Amino acid sequence: MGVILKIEDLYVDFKTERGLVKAIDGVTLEVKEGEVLALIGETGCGKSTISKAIMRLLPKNATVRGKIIYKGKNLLELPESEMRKIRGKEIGMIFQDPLTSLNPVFTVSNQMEEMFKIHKLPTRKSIFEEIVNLLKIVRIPDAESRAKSYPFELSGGMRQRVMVAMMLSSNPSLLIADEPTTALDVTIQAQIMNLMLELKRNFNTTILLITHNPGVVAEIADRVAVMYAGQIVEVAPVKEVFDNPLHPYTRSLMRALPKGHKTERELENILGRVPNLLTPPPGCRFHPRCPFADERCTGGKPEIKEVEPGHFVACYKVGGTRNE
Amino acid sequence: MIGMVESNVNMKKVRSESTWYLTWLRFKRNKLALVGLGIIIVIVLIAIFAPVLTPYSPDEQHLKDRLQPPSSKYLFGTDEFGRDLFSRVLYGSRTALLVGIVVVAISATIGVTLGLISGYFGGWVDEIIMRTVDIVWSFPALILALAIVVILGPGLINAMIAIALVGWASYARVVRAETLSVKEELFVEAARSIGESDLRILVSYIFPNVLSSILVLITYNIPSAIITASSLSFLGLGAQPPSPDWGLTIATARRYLTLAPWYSIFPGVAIMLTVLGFNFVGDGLRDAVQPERVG
Amino acid sequence: MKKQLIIRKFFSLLLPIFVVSVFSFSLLHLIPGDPARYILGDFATPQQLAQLRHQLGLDRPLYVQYISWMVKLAHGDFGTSLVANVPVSELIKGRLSFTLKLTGTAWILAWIFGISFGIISATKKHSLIDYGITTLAVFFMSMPYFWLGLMLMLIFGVKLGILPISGPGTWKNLILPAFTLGLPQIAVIARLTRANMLDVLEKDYITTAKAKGLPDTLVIYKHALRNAMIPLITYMFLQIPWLFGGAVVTETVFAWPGMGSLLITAIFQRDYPVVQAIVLIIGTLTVIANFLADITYTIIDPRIRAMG
Repeated sequence: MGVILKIEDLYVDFKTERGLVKAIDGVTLEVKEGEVLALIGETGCGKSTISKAIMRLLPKNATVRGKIIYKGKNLLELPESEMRKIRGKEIGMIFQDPLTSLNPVFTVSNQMEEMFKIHKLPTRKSIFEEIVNLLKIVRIPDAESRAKSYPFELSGGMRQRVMVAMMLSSNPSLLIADEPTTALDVTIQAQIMNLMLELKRNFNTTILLITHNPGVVAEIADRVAVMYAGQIVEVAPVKEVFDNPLHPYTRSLMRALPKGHKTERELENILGRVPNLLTPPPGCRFHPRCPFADERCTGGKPEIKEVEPGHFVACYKVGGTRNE
Repeated sequence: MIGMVESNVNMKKVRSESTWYLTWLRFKRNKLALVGLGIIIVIVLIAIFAPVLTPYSPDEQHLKDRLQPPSSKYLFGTDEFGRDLFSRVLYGSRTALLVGIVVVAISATIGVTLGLISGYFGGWVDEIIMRTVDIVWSFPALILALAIVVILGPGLINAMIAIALVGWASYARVVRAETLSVKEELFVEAARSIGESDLRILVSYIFPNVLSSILVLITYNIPSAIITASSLSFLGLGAQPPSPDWGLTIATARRYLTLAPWYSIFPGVAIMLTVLGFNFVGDGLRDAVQPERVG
Repeated sequence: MKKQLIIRKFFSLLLPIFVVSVFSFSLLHLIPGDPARYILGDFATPQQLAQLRHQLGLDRPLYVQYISWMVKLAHGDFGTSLVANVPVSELIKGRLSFTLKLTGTAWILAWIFGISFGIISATKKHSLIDYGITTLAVFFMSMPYFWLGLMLMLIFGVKLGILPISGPGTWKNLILPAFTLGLPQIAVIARLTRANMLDVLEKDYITTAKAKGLPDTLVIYKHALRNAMIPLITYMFLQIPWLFGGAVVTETVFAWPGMGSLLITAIFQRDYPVVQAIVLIIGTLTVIANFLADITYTIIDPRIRAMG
């Protein structure tokens, strides 16, 4: 499996009225072709910032350093006109809240049509028929009349299906799904997840799934990257993360999960306060909440190391014990 | 239970005081608002100390120095009677501020009362008041004021009454909307349950909570009243000669536009600065009162 | 569904129009004392007074006067001017086209420039050009029409000598009055457009549009502008009566022979039938503008349209 997207030493700062927010602090991450990589972490840990940085959709007060290499090209250095050909065409994106991510004043087909026109997508039939066909693929009943509907006439789940269909129209190599089910009912969540799995199988789309829901991760991810306060603390195959979590943060995450069955339990506040990123703790950002922290953890940032094949951890304690 | 209610009511009052303080802190951060506040303070000081600040009496005629351009003797030049325009423009601030104060006092009293009644009691009272508000609010203010001046006759006092009878509608609108939401809050509910009268609830519970919106409206109402009043004076239906009113001055100055352009310029700049000052403060106050709207 | 709503709203027009008609009608009757003496002055003979009272119908009961006034209005009869001695409708007919030309031009200027400046300002937020536009806007909003008109006259007519400063004539005579009336409105619309655009540009569906790879022009002019315009649509209509209000002063400044300057002359000449007619016309226009604002709002926003 080749690497489709490689993030190298990424830093993102936001200039705000209260000071500089160091939202992403030296993230390195690989997404392999055809896999589902889940990026998991608490709200505010910077996982959505990474997805927007890949698409270069961060607000103007953000400064980005590092490299984001997609199929050999550093996206951060592409001219805007080239970047537009990547957005939507090469990399699709689905957002958290389907209720607000479709434009309320245009019909579904009008908004889907734009993909065909802008990216000059090949069509076998008329664009409208292609749209109806896509809506059928994402299992929207009565697709023809739904295509002519306005977003407000559709339920949340339906709208998220429309988003998926829209992003599928260009058959992108990479799909970034930023908390695609968080705003939906539990039953609808499962349906959307199944839909995405199905699409991955049928179209061989690589998926970068951003979520704070371990239940979702267990269901669909191949590998998991755990994020804490703007840093990646652990990357491992999904089974490893659940059965053999090594980073203290990942461990406390997993301990918070009820055992034996899939859960919808969210991560928020299970460990107390997330640090203030205006003045992040020096060294390992987790050390103030870590039961094993010593002076080494407050000194320098721990490097991320491969401690077992395919299992990477950024912690002095973990790497250290094995190397000593 | 009673104890709980009491503490609830007290909590609201305490919070309301610190809200004012927070509003001031947010207001202070807005530079334009502070500039506006500075302009207003200067104008108020000018109005109060006009006799000390002016080199001549506003009515003093220097018949040898008619229509003189600005000079060190006459800073803003002179008019067709040789009166010192600098002194007249400074005195004109008194009329402008008087208009602002009188109009606001009348409009706000009418509008706030009707708004409170409309929002608190609802029903057909609300219906009648709000339909009237709709018409008055969308009617061009100057024409409605003109129509009222037709009935009352020309003059500054009548012009002020006319403008006040036009300006109350926006108070009624906003206060009604706020009353509707405030009256659903727990501390009003609590006051009702301990048997407070409607009047007391309106005056001591609801009114303090709509006060900040009223304050914003007032800062916008003053400049618009000044503009309408100066327009009426310009048309000859407001302040009458020999008043140094800015609108009236410009009405005369117009005849000498080619010969003595400064005559028209200075009183107009005075109107503009006054209005600008209040508008800046209004914008700043609005953003400070409703911080979620800042963007 | 939709038709019913419009019909219901149409009937809600009648009450305000009734109020406006009663208000215009009462203009003459609310004058303290005897209107006839007030109009003719202290030196009028009893015969003259009696004749005027009869001409104005003052010798009949109020409600009869109102009904007969309304019946005449329904036939397009606005009464006779006391000064010019010609039907008021003819006086107004001669003036109306001038006022419409002035307000119409100002309206078009206001929207073309207002929206353009608003969009530029919003898309170049916090740039020099944004500060320039917003600062100028506040200044233009703080000037009374009559002074703005005089200053434009002074600069373009007197100093530069490139535009005629008063009276009707060619299209050149329209430029200064139209900008006098239009500039403050450009300022208002630019500010509203900027605020709404900034609001809309933060919305999730704009991120979606960008994530689809749409070029900025499509994101701004299609996805953002359409949504930003919805709250502005009401203003397109509400603004019309206000333009007529501003026209009164503007016409007086530029000696533009429209309805506004007619109103001022009529007020000074105590020509009540003319004053009543103009107040009634502008009042009705206000009510209709309100109605249209309401209707268009329902038509343009699919969400409200569906609720019917």
